[in-house]
Amino acid sequence: MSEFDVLAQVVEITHSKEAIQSKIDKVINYLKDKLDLNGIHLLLFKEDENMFLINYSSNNELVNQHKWIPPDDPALFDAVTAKRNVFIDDLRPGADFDSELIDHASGCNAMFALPICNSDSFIGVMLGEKHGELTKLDEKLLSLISIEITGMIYNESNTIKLKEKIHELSTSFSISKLFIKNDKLDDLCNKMVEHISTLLYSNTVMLELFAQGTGTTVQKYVFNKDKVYDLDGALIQGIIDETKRRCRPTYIKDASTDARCSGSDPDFRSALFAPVEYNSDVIGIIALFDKEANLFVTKKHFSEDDFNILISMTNQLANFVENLLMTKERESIIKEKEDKASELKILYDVSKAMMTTMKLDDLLQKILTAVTISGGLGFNRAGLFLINHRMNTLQGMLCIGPDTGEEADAIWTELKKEEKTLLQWITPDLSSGSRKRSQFDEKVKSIRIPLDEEENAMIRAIDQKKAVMVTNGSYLSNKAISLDSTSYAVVPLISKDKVIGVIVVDNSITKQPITSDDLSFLTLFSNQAGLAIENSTLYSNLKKTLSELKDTHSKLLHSEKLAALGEMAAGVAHEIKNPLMAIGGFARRLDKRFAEDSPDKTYINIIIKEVSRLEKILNEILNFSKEERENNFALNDINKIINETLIMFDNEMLENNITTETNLNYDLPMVLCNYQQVKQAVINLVNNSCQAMPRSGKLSVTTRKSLVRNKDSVVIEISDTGGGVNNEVLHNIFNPFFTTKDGGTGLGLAITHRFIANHSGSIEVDNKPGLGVTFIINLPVKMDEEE
Amino acid sequence: MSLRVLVVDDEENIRLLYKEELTEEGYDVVLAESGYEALDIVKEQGVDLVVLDIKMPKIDGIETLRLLKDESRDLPVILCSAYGQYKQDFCTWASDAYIVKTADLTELKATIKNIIKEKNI
Repeated sequence: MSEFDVLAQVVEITHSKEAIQSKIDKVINYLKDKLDLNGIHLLLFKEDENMFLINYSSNNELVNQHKWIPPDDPALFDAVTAKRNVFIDDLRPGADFDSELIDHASGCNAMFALPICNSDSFIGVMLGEKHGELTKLDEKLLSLISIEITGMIYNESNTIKLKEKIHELSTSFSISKLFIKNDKLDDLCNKMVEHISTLLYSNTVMLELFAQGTGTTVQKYVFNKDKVYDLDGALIQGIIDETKRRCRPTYIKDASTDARCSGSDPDFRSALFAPVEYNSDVIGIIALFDKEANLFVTKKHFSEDDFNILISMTNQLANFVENLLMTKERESIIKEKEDKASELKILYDVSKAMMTTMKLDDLLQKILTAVTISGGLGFNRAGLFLINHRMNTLQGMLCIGPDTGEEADAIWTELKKEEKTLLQWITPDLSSGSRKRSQFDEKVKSIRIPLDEEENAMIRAIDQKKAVMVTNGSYLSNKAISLDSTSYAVVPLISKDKVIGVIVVDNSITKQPITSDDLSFLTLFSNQAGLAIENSTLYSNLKKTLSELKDTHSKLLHSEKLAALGEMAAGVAHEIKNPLMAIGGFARRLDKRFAEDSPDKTYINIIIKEVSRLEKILNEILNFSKEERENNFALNDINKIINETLIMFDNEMLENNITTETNLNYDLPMVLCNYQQVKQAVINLVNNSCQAMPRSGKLSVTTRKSLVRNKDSVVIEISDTGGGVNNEVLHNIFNPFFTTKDGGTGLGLAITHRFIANHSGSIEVDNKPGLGVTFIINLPVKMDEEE
Repeated sequence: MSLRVLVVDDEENIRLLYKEELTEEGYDVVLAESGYEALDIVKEQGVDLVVLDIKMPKIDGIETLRLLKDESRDLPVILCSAYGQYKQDFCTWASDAYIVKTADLTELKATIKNIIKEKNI
């Protein structure tokens, strides 16, 4: 068989579809046979060990012995260092060529060492020995065969690398898919440790998550393929803590030589620790332990590539956690917003319903319905108490809620059947008497709590103007009517910064705890309710006042009618009186003409007598009217009289450019006087002052308390800047018909004087000619009885 | 010579009654049916005393009283009115007397006599 045939056969084997191990075995055995070799071996270089291993040999024993050969073995030396084919024909045993690869005992005298390499990397050496000579043709043939084997191994190596890349990519893709498909951290983490193990051929992958802020471990995810490590041991935990502290990855390529593991007897050979970082905080660590060797590559240490892939994984995980947290935050914000919107809707509905009534009873019913209905605030029971300032107590007004669990079930089942909105529940007039009153309501209505009572949550809520939560206590202070609730809340009803009452709520039936959110919402609601109650009370007061005003108005109308009637009676009396006087007068004259015994005198006397009787009746009528007008003494407010008078002169003073200065003492006592007379007296004085200042001036009115002849008095001073009175005529000013004005009647001051005298008062003049005049009226608060 | 008394009243029957009664008392009675006529008589003829009604058309007794007092401050004037309510005011500071009108003229006659005596007319 020619060398060409041998080569052709080798090429056929290397290109067959068999596994590479089988092909190498076949080539080795074929060459041993055809070239009559004593032995032939294929040694592959293991980077990790920096040694050659006899992977394939015509001598199976050597393979089974797992034989390691150092690179400086004399048999390999030139082939490794110079990467050239070595052929030796005169092989002799001796110290200069002592290789265990060469069986000197078999008497071989020729050997060859052919490097399996290319310009970039070194794979191994094909080594052989032979009895006898290696011809030049043999050497050429072996050189060609080594090239063919090199090609085959590189092809296989590339295929494996390609497969590794495909594996890496598909696993990475699977991990990426995990991040997209999963929204649950637990699921994701469990799958992730498994995928990372597959991707990086790691025996064990652990993911430890820490609580944000505190850094304590909250969850640990572990995927183990084979060997189990002491993950909670001091060594691993120490490295994790260090990684966490430095916030940088830790790469332990070889634990046996790494300083960080010295003295700890590590149970792993190689490890990677990468921090998962979120917002400058380490929220987790991914740790990988020991890389598995694959079929072709025996590396058991993690490479830089592995390290980079892991960093990329942790970044993805951090992003995922960030997204997850943001999603959670977003969801929580959305929920919060939805809750707020729902609360606002409730408040809007309730305020709308509250506006439909001004009746307090109805309003309270609406408020408590809103507090207890499920579409509203949803408390089991609610009571409303208002402050009674007159009694200085907190008074139970109304309560809504079932007495027992059975009753609650019955009511709530019934309510569910009626599908009504909150507004529909509370809008109708609820004040009708047809509602069934609970025992609870009756109890609450009978409650009166003194406002100064201590140790009472309701009083405390009033005093502190804020909600009070009682988790363990009697519902009400009065033990005789205490109810079975041990957990309840009290919120004050506040209107214009004033507490007007409280709302008390509990969930005594469902036993659902009252949350701080419930309490905040109830507080918000109670502010609105407080205003509505205040408005209702004001409205009721307004209605009462209006009714009183109507009453007064009607009485006034009545008294005005009476007065008009009096005037009319006086007018009629006057008209009758004159003719009556003529009748009576002439009758008297006739009477004188008749003799005493004349029968006609009797008739005349009858006329005289009847006229006298009529005159008497008429005088009584007229006197009655007079008393009505003159004896109308009552307690009056002098300041009020003055203010009313000044208002009457507003226009005149504006036209005459008169300014007013009032200095009224509002502590004045009420004065027993005739309102009309005092007012007329003031009117006359103000009128005089205004007439004295036709172009401009200043009117000053002062009131003050005084003591005249040991009697409490009120002084009214009215001053003007009208130039005063000529001193020569000053003594005449109170005389009737005395006037210094054109067209004046001269009665104003006279009447004023008369009216003040009627009250046992006095009027004085402080005259400053050229400047002005001040009238000083002194009115005793109470007239002496004899006066 | 008898004293001259002016009676001012818008009602003719009343004037007649006063005239008869007072004439009988010995006075020289002059009559006027309005305030203005009374003023003319006082100015032109002069009188010793005036009996003056309050409620009259055109100018009432109060205004007439003021005009009369302007004309002759010392002229005694007795106000007569069906109303009693002004009595207190006018006796004090306006007229010399105030008489509530009645068919019985005894009070009027007595008042005239008193004033004549007081004022020494």
